[in-house]
Amino acid sequence: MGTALVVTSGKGGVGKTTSSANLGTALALQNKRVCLMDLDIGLRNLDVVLGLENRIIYDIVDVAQGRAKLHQALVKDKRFEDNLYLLPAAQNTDKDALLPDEVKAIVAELKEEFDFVILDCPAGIEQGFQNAIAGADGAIVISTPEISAVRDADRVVGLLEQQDMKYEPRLIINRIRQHMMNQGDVMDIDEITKHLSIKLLGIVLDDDGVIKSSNHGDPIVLDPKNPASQGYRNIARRLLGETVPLMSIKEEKVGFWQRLFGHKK
Amino acid sequence: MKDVVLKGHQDGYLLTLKATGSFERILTELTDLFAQLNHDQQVAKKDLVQFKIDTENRLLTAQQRQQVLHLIEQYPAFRVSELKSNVILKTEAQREKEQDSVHINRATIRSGQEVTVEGDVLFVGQIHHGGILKATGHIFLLGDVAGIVQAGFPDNEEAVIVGDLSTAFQVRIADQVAIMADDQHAFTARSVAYINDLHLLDYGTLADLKTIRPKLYNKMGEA
Repeated sequence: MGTALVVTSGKGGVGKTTSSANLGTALALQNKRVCLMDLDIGLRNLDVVLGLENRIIYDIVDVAQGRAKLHQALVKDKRFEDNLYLLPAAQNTDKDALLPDEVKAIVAELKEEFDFVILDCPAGIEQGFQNAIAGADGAIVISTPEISAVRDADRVVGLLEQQDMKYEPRLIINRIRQHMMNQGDVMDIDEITKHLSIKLLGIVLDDDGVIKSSNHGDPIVLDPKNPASQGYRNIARRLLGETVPLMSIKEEKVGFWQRLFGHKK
Repeated sequence: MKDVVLKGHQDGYLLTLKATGSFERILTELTDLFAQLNHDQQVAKKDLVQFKIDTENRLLTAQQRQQVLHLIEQYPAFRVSELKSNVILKTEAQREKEQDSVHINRATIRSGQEVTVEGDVLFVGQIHHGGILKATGHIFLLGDVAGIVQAGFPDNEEAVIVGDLSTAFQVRIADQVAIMADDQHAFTARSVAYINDLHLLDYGTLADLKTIRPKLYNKMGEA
């Protein structure tokens, strides 16, 4: 019996879809069977980030309304053998076409077969959000160090706490720009965690590589050297119960002599 | 002048119901006629007799049709093999026209949009990633295709897709789906996608069309 986790944030553009794709991939790399579920009906993106857009034949609404069987709608990611699957969102149906009970039933069916079911929640706190949290055993709240994202995350945590899930919501602070945080231009990690008063699951540094690889349909996690990738890999290991220390956000200081004689990067 | 005329032909009997007469009179005449015929039939002891009925420039309503058929069905010795007319409803005519003509479509089908065409389509627009073009008949592509093209929707296996499909996400004909990323076929603007004898999606060129779809080939010759 697997665990269903919803990835949510309230605010748009903080990296829900990117985080879902990368966490799913990182868990699949750890040899877990993972199913990613896109619940952003009408504006689906998860398929694009994973590079599976061209393989979609049926979607979640087809499954909910009985036009397709669940296994017919699942899109397999061939890069990870039998470990990673996607259940795509519908593109051209009404966003109210899905009901929380239908999502619950689908998630329950998926949990039988997969170790993790990751639900990619749409922005906002309307029907789509309600659908996404209905089937989840726990929530991962994504926020950036921006005050507006933290505010929305706070609102979402409040809503999640009313849901009475099996696991408490946990926080990922995404898109951290080291120099801004070190200079005190944005809230730092401790501040945000204390403010939201939920457990910190991990941090992910802002990196151009994330956008670059998404554009090619490759999750950044596949590049082991990338700093954002390491963030997601650490989070995946923590989800599996390992104790992994938080990565440092200190920038490497380059000394005077090193700058003079050191190799150019 | 009578409103119901019975004539013998090589291939059976033809019953003409004159469009100039009223339907009530036709019914009475038919009743009398068949009573007489039934009488003659029993005397002559012939086999089952089949009739074709022609209503000329009159279109029978469903109820009138039932009345005529019911009247004749009373007699086990007679049967109506065909009921024809010179006229059809405008809506019916329009539907037939839709089905037969090649529509020219120059839409831009964006992500999440779906355009469905009755009959054949000559597509000169653009299909963006995530857009779907569906046709019940054939699809001829001149425009840019990045999304999904589906011919013969939902179950017409005779349908073909002509054009360069190399940039498309998926090609679907009837209920067959091909993901182009997996199909390393060298496409040109003269490529044809079709369903082969094994009910699988296959590709050829326009030059093969005569053997792949002789009907379509001949139809093109007529036009």
